[in-house]
Amino acid sequence: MAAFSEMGVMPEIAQAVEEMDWLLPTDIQAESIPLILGGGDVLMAAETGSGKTGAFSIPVIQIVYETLKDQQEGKKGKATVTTGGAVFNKWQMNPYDRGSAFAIGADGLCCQSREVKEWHGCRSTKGVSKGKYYYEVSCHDQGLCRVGWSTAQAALDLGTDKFGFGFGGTGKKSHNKQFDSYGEEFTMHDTIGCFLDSDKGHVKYSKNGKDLGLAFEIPQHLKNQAFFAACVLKNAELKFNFGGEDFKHPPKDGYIALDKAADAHVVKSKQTGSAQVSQAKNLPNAPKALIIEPSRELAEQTLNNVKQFKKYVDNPKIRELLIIGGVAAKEQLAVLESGVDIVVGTPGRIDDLISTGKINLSQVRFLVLDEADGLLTAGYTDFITRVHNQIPQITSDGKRLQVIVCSATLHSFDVKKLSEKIMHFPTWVDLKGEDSVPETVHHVVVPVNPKTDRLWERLGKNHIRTDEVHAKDHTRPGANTPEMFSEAIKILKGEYTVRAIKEHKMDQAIIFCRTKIDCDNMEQYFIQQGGGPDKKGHQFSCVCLHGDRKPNERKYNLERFKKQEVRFLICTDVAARGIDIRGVPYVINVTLPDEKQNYVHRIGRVGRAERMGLAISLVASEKEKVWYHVCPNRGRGCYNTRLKEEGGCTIWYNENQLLAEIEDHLNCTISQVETDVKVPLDEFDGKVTYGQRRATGGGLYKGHVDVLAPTVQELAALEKEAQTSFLHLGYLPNQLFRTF
Amino acid sequence: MEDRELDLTEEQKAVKAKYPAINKKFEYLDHTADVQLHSWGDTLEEAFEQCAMAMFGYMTDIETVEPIDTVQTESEGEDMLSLLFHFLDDWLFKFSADQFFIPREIKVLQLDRVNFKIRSIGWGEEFNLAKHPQGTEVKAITYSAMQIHEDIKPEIFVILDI
Repeated sequence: MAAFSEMGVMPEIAQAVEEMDWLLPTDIQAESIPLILGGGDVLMAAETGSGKTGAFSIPVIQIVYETLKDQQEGKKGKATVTTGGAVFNKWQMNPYDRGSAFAIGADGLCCQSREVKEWHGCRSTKGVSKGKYYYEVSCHDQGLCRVGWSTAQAALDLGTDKFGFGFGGTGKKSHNKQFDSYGEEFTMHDTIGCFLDSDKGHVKYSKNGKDLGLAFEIPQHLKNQAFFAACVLKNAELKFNFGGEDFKHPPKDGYIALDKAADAHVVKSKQTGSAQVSQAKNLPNAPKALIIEPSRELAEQTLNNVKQFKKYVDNPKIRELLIIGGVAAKEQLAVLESGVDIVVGTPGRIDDLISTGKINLSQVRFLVLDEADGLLTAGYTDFITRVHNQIPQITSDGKRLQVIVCSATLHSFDVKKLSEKIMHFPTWVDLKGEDSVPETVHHVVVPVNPKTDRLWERLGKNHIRTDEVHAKDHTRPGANTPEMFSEAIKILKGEYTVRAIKEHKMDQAIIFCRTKIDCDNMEQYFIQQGGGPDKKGHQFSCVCLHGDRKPNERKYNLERFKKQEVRFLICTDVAARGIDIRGVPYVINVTLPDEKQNYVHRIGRVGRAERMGLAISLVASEKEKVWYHVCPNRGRGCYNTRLKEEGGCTIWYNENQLLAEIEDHLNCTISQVETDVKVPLDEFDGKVTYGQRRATGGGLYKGHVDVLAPTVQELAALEKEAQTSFLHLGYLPNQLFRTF
Repeated sequence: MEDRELDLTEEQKAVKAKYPAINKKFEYLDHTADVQLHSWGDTLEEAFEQCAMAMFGYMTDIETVEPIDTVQTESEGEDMLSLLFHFLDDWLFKFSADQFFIPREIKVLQLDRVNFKIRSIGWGEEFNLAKHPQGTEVKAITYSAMQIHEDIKPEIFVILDI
């Protein structure tokens, strides 16, 4: 098992991977696994079925294992100096008492905040309650800052409440949100001295050694409190000197360096973080890794992957947990209480458990957002930021939080923004620039034209039940209205689906419908053909998977399809994303997806693991009126067939335009076939059997050879002729050369 | 000359407010007749991104551009300088020729320093004078005084022909 171990994957995982028949890492795995193992943040963009799940689960398991192992052996992280108790033994800025965008250098003195719109502040690890003290701040750039003193209860935004005293670069002193002119402006290269006389209750400043005079008198109610060095920055960088280095402008009049303060007068900050961390160490409900998936099915699948990969990982064993909605929380809670290391789940339930404190995020060192574009479109942006904010940026053993974001496409601007917000210098792993269809997938379009194919007029009542968008319209043949053609399209699509199945003798296929009701109708129509869920092995046996079915049923149905008890899976786009059903040979798009990216997702269901697949899309040449529920109950019991613009719940669906967009997006033309759904054989591929591995070796270029053989033969004959002619030339009289 | 202020209509201001502000790491330096771009970043990739954004920032206020479409470019060069030239030139082409694409933000996906290849993606839309304020159009990128520094922090200087 050289390939995976070469990337640094531990042998236990490599063995499990080998048993899964993964001989070589996929491109995305080869690229990402070393990056993640190396501790980097990674943003992966890859087509479906490229092994993304493996690309993050393998390193996550390994690092979680290593962390557990270290803890078990009582090893401390290398970087403990900057976290936990150690920082509190020295005068420095407090990493547990700072704004979210406030960064503190390894020395604890150099501070930076690059947020341009907000102020972010920080306080020192220690404060003083009695005496006369001094510290210096040097500004490293032209950003805005305020420096000074505040008590532990003050807001980090210094000078905006009663507990803090600040002096800003614009030459203003601030206290209790009041900004008054004081001293003079300061900026890059200036050194500001901050003086505190807690006996007299005076705060004053100096600039480059020049005393700027009394700034504040500390009010009575604060007099006996401890004051901490504090600053607040907006896109600025500065450096504190508490006396560790020589002061540029040593103070006079009995002021002493902060770090020379007598122990009796020093108060340690209560914002230690370490107390919480050390206590959390043994908490069972504090996972090391959190993997967030947009749908239950995906979450289950990722969990199963994790289970397989960690099969041989032992001592300590890794405990994983699935947290999804739709099932009783009780069991999940019980497992949580007994201890977990990796949590895989969907946003809704995870959010519940976090906000009620059932999951403790203090130990998380891996945050994985799978299908992040899906998460963001589903409106989980706030949730993601909230979760990210609750996870410590540096874990108890001194390692940085690693964030891994997977996205099907790079085209989402929101994903870019998210990566800037929550990731730390992410490496973008993008193997294919544009969405592209795997080579193992053939995809074709069948035009559905009710004007040329009049089949629908002859069917009588013998057709698929439609979605009743036109229940109130006159759609009988002869009406010749757009509504009539729209209804005809719906009928024809049912017929074409059946025809495609018969023509290709499909033994397994996923059939995508646009809405839940379309799915139900298709299932009914299959039952009408003698198939359906109960007819195991029948040509039209099928199951249905969509959001209105209960989770149990969804799971059961998916299982039955995977076991090949039924031939067809009828579903909406929920199943399109990420669900790995191996070796499905066919996909039928009854309707093109609203979102062009989903087309790639849908047809990515076939042609996996190098097996050939065929995707057939039925594309209406006329406009079709379809449901588009904007009503609060999302279509349940809604019969409002007016258009969306008129306050109703339908739209005119223009598949020709969608097709053009998809072709534009994929940068290719999708070939069209006749309405008999016969797919012409590709002249070079020769005959392919969908669902089988593409014939390797000779088989692949057999077609090629047949085409080229006559030409090659002709070439050989010509060559022979030329050579012979030359030889004959030598025997003719009066030649210039007679060498032979 | 730090940033260029263009007069914005109310609609343009509304679009600007709709999206998070762009983190600009570039400035325009005075130069006789032409304009010199100075961009920087934490990585050379970022300096490249910022340089291209600086170029578009001279043509319009890129914060009024909505990220509704994406365009990718791939450029090649013989050395770092020519790579930078072609990178900017290819982006300028996307703007100047059909589709008239103006990006709001650009991200370098891959910078191959061995073979001098670069891949990048931009989020933006078609340029539309009704929607975007008019700055100064860039005619060409020049090699004149072009510099790429990487010793202290990545920095780029490019002079544009306007």
